[in-house]
Amino acid sequence: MAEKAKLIFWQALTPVHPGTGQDSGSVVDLPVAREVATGFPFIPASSLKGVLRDGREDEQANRVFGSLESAAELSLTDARVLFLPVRAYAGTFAFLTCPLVLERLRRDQKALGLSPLQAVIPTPGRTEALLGANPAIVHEGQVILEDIDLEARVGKVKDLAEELGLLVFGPEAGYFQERFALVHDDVFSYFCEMGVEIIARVKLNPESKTVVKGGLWHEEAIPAETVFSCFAIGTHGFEELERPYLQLGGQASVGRGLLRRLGGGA
Amino acid sequence: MRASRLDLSPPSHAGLALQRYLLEHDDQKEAVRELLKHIANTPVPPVYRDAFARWQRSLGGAVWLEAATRTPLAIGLGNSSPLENGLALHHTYGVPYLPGSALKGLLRRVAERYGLSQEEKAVLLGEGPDPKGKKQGSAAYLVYWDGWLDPQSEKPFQQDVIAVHHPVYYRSRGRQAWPTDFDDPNPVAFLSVRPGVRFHIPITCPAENAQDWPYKAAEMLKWGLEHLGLGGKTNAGYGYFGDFRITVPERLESLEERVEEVERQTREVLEQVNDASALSKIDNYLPKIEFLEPAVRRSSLEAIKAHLEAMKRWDMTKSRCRKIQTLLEET
Repeated sequence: MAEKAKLIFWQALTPVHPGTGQDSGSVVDLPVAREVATGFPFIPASSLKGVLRDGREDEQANRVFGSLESAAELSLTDARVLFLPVRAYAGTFAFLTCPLVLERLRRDQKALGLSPLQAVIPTPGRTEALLGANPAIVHEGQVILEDIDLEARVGKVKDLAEELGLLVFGPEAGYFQERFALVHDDVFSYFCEMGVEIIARVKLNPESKTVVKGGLWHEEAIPAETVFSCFAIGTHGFEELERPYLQLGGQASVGRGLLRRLGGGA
Repeated sequence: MRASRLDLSPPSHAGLALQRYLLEHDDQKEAVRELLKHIANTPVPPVYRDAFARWQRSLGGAVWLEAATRTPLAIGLGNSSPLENGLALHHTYGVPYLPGSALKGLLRRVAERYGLSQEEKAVLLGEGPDPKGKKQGSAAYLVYWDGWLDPQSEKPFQQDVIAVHHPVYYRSRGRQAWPTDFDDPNPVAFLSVRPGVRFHIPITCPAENAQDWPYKAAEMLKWGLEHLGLGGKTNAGYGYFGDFRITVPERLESLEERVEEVERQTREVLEQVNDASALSKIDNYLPKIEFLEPAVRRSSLEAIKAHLEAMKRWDMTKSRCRKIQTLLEET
């Protein structure tokens, strides 16, 4: 049977911690997984697959997800960051992406025989934010993010914002389009490094309610609202993806890693 | 703070304002008070309301504990902030929230008071690793989600102040000076959540039909929030809650209704199985009923067996038939 491919989006509803299981040796004790070449955070395909499989060992699961005897009929790719929410002066937060992310998505869509993104992907300058038609994140001609001020170029990526909004969010596209900003690869890369959430955790002594020695640590998390894209490729088993919600990654028992599925057109 | 922003008033995102928009560190702490006043007057951002609804929908099977602050709440005081004290604010939306880890930590304290057994604690809280017994430890069976602010809340913050009366004594741990009545108090301005602010706390258990545990956890948490307090400064009256409500998701239908529903699905599958080429439909269907309780699936399994016998396809050398037989023998 011919192989099919599907593009699926996952949106974080709570912070996600796809941990590396390693100490970073920096201020952050528990960093999130990042792509080696770009430094963008991602969810490894193995995490996704493990959660979708749910520990099942029956024939159906063995066929779709693989067993010692045979390989899986359904392959998943890593879920890459497509839109990163970054705190903004106006509009609460912006959905950032960059040409590298979108070109890569388009390249993969073509390679897998899916209809690729149609809209032009312009290259913003290092101090610019290219926006859709009615942005909510502009303050006096600027998009003011955490530590960086960018010149707002309203309407420059109107078609792109509309196409992406429809593709990923469907009827909910509005709140995405007014927050969408295409920024330079370096700016995006900076926020992937510096703009993610850092959560301080303490362990208390139950009697004295003071912090136990060595009981303070910092965890990184990919913030709520982040949208990831991933591909499912295979002959069978696409119905396994028909779940509206998943929970994955580390620190699950304190509520990290709740994702909702968006899109998924063949 | 960047020079380009000196003329801007702080943004409506409280977290961003707290971390990036302090004008200066003046001796009189005028700038801090200005910033806090601004945040205390900041309403909840409109985008939060939709986000809350989306989040609430995603946790349909949860047991929900609602609670309102009865006293001010100061949680996450140690979070980094150019002010001396931080507050637990949602990274993306900037609204106060109750971290799931803090709720779980409070439950741990409640568990000591309740005198729970080791097994009960293992389910509710997980087990730490035991290096001596070389046991790896385990995660809790329950998920303590962050408690989210009620989206109808108007202005959840308030300006607050603690006055340190003997700063030199505390700083030197008594080595340089003794506390006296002549010391000047040192007021420290900070941000807290005002009384009367409502939060929604979902608790789930990944196992199916296991709502008793999340309910038990919600009851214990309620007691803890009422009597032990959450967050910092509980000895000074901060962090106590009241006005509780526990909502349990609707129980699944009665046993008879569930049996009927499974029988109906089974009939639908069997109607499509008339020759050997369609037998795979049964194979695909079996995993779906395999995990139901024996009482729910029994009559359906018997129907499948009868159907196969009628087709002269009941053959114990086939794995499908062996599986059905094994499932039928389970009680």
